[in-house]
Amino acid sequence: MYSTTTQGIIIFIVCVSFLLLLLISFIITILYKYQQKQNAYYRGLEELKISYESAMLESQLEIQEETIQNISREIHDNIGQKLSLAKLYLTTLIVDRNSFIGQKIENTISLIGDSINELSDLSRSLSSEIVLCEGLIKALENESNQLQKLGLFKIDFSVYGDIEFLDAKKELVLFRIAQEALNNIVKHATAKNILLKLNYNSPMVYMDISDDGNGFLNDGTYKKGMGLIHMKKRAESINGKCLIKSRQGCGTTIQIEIPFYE
Amino acid sequence: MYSLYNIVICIGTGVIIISLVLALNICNKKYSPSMINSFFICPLIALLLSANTITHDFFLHYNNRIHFTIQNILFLFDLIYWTSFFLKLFNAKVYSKRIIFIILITLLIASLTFFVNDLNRPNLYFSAIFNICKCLFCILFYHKLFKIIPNKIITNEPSFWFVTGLFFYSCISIPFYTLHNYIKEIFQSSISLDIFAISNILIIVMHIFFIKAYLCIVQQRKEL
Repeated sequence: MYSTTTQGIIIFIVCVSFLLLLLISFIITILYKYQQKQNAYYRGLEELKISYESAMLESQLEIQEETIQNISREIHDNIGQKLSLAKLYLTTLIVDRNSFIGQKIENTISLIGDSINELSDLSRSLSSEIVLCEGLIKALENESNQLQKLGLFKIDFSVYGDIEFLDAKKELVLFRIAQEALNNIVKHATAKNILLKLNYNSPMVYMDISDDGNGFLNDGTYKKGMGLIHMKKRAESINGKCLIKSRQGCGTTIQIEIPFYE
Repeated sequence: MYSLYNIVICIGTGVIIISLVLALNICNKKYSPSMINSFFICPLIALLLSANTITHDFFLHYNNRIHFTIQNILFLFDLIYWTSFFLKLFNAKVYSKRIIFIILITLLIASLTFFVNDLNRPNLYFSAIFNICKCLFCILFYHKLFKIIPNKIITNEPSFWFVTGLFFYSCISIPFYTLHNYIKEIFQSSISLDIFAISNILIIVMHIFFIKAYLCIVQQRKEL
């Protein structure tokens, strides 16, 4: 058997080891629990930040949309009306149409008529009414026809899949993205052919806009001033994705992916 | 005689002296948190406790009653110091009220124990009661730790190490102090001494934690 001293030492070692183990487990538990709490806190903070950003984006887009609507209404109701009135006044002038002044008045009437038509097109394009009343496809068709009229591009607009009416907000966002993309093509791409494709493939709708223009270096330098960020933000605001593929000299493709129901 | 108990006492005294020197170095420095300013009192009391034990056990062998009375008085001072430490640490009315309530209850129980105590059989019940009180303070600290915004790196917080060291010592030492006389009676003197050495190990561990806390303060200062 062990001597008394050895017994004492054994008791001592066992107890101390047990207590140290207890201490270590206690510290680990506290640290683990605290870490868990810390992770949950930072996760919550991140979620709050994301929801704040999305609320900000949404209100930004709403304000933008409202401004566009105001401009559209102003063009249609105010400028359009005044020009129509001016045209009416000129038409009712009693002058010899074959005289020099008469010719000038005829030309002015014709110019005012063209301006009224162009402003009317612009107003229609800015207005969300066409999307809300007649749907996305009709609005895109209209937009393509407007561009086609310029005679600078060949636009091919096609729709695939089982057409489904999306939420009005989603349709409007898709329409605005398409407008932004087409506007970029007109301003920067010097393209000959534009392909606008809408594909309904439940539960997603895909919109591809591609051109055979200049393209650009997809290295982040394009970010400023070309509205590409806006397109991405708009897509994200309705839980969608926006992918931009471009190579210098090889055209640009913009792919939008939007869920039907989310 | 170099028994385990004696060795532990000597090592413990060494650790306490190191802790005292570090505490004196850190106290009243500009960068030290307010609760640390008088922290040297804690290792100083521990050193006096150690001196009391060494004088009693190795040199003068004076009456147990005197030895225990000195020990209990030093523990009372220790408790008063820790109360002020936690009051500074919490710095919130709700917790301050709780601390004052706990200390009042503890002092009341300690006074009652004093009156019912058998003076012919000296014991460490007071120390046990005081340690229960310190445990409650530590639990309040952990409660607060999990209530406030968890934006700190806890392992770099000196208060965490101070409190964890104190909590470990206070919790585990309660049965040793309560059963002191009982252990002495049922075990042979050498075994009982080895068992009491465990409570001294607890003090060593607590002071090692304090040293870690001082290092955290220095680290925090360097980061600033």
